Amino acid sequence: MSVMSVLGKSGDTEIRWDPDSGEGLQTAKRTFDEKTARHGYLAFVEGPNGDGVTMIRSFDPKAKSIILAPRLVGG
Amino acid sequence: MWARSRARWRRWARRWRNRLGRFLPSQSERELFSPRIRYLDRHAVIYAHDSASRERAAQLLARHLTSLQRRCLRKRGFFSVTGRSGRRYRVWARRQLPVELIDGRHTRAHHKPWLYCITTDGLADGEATLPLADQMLELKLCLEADEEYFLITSNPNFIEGVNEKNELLRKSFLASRRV
Repeated sequence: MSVMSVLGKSGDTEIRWDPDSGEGLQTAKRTFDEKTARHGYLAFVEGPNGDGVTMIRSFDPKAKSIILAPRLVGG
Repeated sequence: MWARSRARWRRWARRWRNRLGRFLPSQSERELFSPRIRYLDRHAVIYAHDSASRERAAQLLARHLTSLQRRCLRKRGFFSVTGRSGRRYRVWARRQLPVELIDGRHTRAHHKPWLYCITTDGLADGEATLPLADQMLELKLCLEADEEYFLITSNPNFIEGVNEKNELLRKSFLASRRV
């Protein structure tokens, strides 16, 4: 199972999906698109061994772990 | 005699700590942050989050840190992150000026700390700001994934950082015009 953590006011909310069977995939993709397109969230995905974090712009169904965080602004 | 009474005192304290455990802050948050940081975070006027949110955020942050980073955060209030360019940053457990650039050229730098002011935009979602641990995690991921985005977005408090930011903005502007 892959997991997407959406960071928010009350900690993170997890959305899980199965990349093989496609269970929960639509919900995860819809949340990803809504958060990134409408609210400008940043999406980070980790490498296969937990290293090498990259920022992604479109939903990757094969990713093991995605973190969605609100965009950053200068203080 | 002294050692025996100290051991007895420790046993007594441990027993009461276990009894009162549910009234104390949760485990991950306690392991990750020093009492002073927890106190300041709990009593912040505009960034107040409930204990369950803080605990969830601390658990997520703990999963993404190495044991060295966790120990450093607990003891010294920051952890170090290396960006793609090889430069090292300190992510401090605070809301204002949370990121410090470590001067790699001089081990004993004769200047004030090079800090970047950056925060999460909670207003976009109609929500308040993230818990402190989540904000630190986002800064860590951003520095590791896209250092240039961080440098363009944040506001540095030193002239070299401002010049670098202006240069990056100029380059991205020229690149966008070329397209």
